Amino acid sequence: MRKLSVALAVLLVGATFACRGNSPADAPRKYRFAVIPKALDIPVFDYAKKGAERAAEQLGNVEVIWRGPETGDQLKQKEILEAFITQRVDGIAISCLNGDFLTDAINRAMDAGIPVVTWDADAPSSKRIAFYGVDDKAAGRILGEEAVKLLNGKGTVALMTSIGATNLQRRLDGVTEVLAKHPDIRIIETFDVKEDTVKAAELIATGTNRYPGLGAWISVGGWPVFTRNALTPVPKGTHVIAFDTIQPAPELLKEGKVQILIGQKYFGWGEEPVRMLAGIKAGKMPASQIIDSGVDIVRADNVDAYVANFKKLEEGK
Amino acid sequence: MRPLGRVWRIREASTLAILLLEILFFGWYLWPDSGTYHPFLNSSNALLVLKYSSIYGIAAIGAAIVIISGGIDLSPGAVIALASVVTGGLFVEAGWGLTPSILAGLLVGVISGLVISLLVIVVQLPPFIATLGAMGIIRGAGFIITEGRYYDLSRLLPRGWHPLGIPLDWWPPVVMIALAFAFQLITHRLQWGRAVYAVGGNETAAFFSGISLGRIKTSVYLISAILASVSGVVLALVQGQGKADLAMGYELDIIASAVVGGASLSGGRGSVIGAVLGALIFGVLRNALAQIPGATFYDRLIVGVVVIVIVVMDQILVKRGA
Amino acid sequence: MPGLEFIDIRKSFGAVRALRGVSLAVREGETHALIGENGAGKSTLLKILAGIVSPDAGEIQLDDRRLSLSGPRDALAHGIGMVYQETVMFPNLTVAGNIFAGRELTGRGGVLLEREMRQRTRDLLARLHLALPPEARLEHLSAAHSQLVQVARALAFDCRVLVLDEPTTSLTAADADHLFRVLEDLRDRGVTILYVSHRLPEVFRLCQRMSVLRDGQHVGTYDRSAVTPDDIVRAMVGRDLPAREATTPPAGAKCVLRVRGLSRAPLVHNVDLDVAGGEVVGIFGLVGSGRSELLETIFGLHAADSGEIFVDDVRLARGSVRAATRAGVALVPEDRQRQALFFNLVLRHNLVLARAALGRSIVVRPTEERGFSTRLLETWRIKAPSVDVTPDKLSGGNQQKVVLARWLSIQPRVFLLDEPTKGVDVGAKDEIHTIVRQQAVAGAACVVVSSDLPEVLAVAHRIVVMREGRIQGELTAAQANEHTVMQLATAPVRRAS
Repeated sequence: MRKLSVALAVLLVGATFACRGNSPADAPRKYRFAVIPKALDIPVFDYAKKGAERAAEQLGNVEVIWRGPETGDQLKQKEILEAFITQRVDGIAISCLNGDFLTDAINRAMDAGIPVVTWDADAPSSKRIAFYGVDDKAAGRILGEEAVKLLNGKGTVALMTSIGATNLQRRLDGVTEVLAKHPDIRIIETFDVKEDTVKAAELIATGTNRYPGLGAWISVGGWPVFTRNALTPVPKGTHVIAFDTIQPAPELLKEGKVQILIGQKYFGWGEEPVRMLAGIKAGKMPASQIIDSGVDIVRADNVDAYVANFKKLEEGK
Repeated sequence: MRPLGRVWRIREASTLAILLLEILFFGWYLWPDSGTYHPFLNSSNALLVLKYSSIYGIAAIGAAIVIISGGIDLSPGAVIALASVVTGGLFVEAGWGLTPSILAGLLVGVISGLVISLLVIVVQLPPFIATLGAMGIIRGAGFIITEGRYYDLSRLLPRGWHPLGIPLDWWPPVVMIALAFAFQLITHRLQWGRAVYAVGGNETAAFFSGISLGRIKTSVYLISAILASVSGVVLALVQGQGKADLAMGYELDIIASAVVGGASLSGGRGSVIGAVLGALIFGVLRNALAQIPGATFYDRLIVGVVVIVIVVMDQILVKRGA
Repeated sequence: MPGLEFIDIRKSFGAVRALRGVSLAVREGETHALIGENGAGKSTLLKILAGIVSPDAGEIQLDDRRLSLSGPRDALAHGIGMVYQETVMFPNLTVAGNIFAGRELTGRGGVLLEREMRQRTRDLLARLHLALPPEARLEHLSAAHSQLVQVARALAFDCRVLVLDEPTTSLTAADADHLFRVLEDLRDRGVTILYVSHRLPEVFRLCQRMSVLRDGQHVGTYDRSAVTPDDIVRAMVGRDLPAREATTPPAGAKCVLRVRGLSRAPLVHNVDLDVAGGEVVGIFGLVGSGRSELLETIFGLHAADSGEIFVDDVRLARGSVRAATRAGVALVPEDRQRQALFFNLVLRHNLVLARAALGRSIVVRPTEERGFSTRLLETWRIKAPSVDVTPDKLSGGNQQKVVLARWLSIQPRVFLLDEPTKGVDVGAKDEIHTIVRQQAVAGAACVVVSSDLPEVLAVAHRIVVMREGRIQGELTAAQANEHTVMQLATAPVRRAS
């Protein structure tokens, strides 16, 4: 038994020495920026990661630490944020699952001298320096207006969202604001997807069953278009307008399953905040507190050009 | 008996030793390349670990007691969530005062504990099944009440609140440590505690010795549920959120904490302080791994390995000492 | 020399030296008895033979070849067939399933050859004169039949030595008889049998030679024709036991325990029982006669359907162990391992449990407890390293004394004992009987349930015979002997109240 424990101890110590690696003794100090997405299992954020890492490469003196909760767990995201504060990173860029919930922690980071910027989903009442993302309400309005155009001003509509996230709520507000102006368009139900693409597929199937003559599905997030089969039950006459243009969404649009897609600046989510933080470190504050990234409206007539451009960004500008 | 076996026997001591070794190890491993600031070994990080481990730790006290009595409880995660929902809902939406809301949250624990006791003692369901079912019901109740929303207590709680003069962020570890010592005393210094160990060690013999099995089992499930509700209420107040999907899947980590702290799933063995130390061991692990690039995903794997290693060492060192 | 030989076997468990160089030989084809007190080393020797434990030194030889056993499977493979006291088989499997468990006959690809196994089972059962279908499930069989199925299992594969460890403990006289006929048959056919037992009448009936172990050493091997039972007892104990005297109870003593019309379906029917202070009443009956259930109901473990129990003229609440213990009733249950001892708690805790159950104190007082339990160890001469060890470190007899000590510490008014000397060596047996008599002298009402007729005859002032949950009759010590008691125990049940 004693031999066994000694052997184990030696193995453990040896292994850790092997993993320790070598410390770059003479390399100049790099800024460590923490970039925190809403969750690791939401596909759009993979592009943000690419954008952030590319920005870091180009800047040269920046190291990006990409860490987020495995699923959309607000408490876990807060824990990660607080951990970065105690680790005294040089800057934080975060997409908030729930901005109000994180406000205290963000303020603490700012008070501790760590600059914080938000992207995609904001924490507006916090002390964060700037927000980079879409104007959610405006984006929502665009969704609403496109739907109105497709339905010619009348018909039934089913909305799809995920309750709890502030930015999604704003988009939804934009949609309902526009639809309210058209009395012949009726919202029959608002479905809660709980940030789960599988659930989205399920809800579309049951919804189609229950409302056979549905005019349109309006989704303020990309859940229905993240997978190929979620939209299979939808009949030809029903329009689909959704957020996010990550594959297979454009393909679905080409096949005619989707009519309108709203694209966000996915790579920009990673790039811009990192550049902003680097700039802040160098003494240059961002131009304004809210930086509207703008959206891309993808239809059947420009989808090919959009996809080609996306590929270019993916491969490296 | 070899000295190592004797020390291991005092489970609290060996679990503490493992915790200290772990801290030392990560302290060394994460030593910063430059600068005087250690990202791991600093007071704010320590508070962070304590704060987030307490969610598990408070409930692990109850879990340890149930396991010692020969039972098992899969419901703590659900009770934590429902307690946070009830406290949050009453305080934020129904406009109740703070104290009544807290008491209502604790009542969730009382009722859950009674329901589980009923299922185990009267209906005679095996505890695994009874608490599995209860978990679903209690978790479901939370979702039905909130309909997917959450209650934001932070808006209504005073900013920079220092209840009883202690900063809000310190409350989870303070409550955890206070309860740990209180229950350690109770299980070792009261006849009730002795009876719990007896029931876990040999239920038939306990019955034949005149110990009321019904009373003991009811008390342990009540305690477990009430402690889980304490954790939920503390969570709601400190983090400011009452949500139905809090603490999903925490029950396994809670049980693992108790087991690492010395509780044997066959009953009759275990320690309350050991369970809290177990929760800290896993809390430190999660915190440290998060600082090693790419290592967060090893979290679950390492927890599993640690549990197996500790249980195996238990079997070797304790049995060998015989 | 063909046969089984133990050569200088030594085995220690920690500080306890269980076997100190035991050498004895079992000739091929003979029926050999192994006798000894518990703690003498019999069980350890058997465990070594069965491959469960390895000796520290020494070896076993079978037919002059050294046997090096790596485990029970190995022992089986070498032809050592074990039949244990308690049925260690699979109640959910059939007879055939049990016989072949772990050694199923398989064809190509591991398919089970059910028909072959059933046929072999039938042959085996026929050899043992057992009329059982191979498909019968073990849980539906009687204890006696289960025992015989164990024998069949031991014999199923090329058995060189059949080893039986106290096989008749749970059997009635009739079942034991059946077993003996089977064993005698096997003996006549030349099977080598090693028979371990306390019960001298059995040993003398069945075996040709007997070996006695005492304190881990081999005292001697004797031919049956050359010794008397007393000689053997002397060899086992190392001294002459005083002849047992049945003292007469004090006349005119007050009735301490009074039971009227106690019924608890389906096992106890309308029992009336009076036990005076200072009296020892023995309850005898065959297995299934409801004796244990009667004691358990008096103790409050089960609530009676009807009837009343009075202790010192005070009525006991039904179904409350707490009420019973408060009134001074103590029960020493039949299965001490399952029903009385806590193996996860040290002796200290085991000993104070009775006091604790009375619920007088809420807080534990460690120093006082330690003194109390140490005193108990001394008073009852319990051989244990200290009060801080767990019960598994003690021998069977000492474990039983712990259970007794625990209950005696509350000075019971009514002392109920269920098979108190089962699995206990002769020396400790005597001590336990003395303890019971002492309690009687101190004024307690004692009730001893036993299926060991000689024990009942020796210790009781009065014998009550039960059958099928009813009291069949009573005999005073003077009237009682083997015949009268057995007659009552086997007579048709009197239905009239």
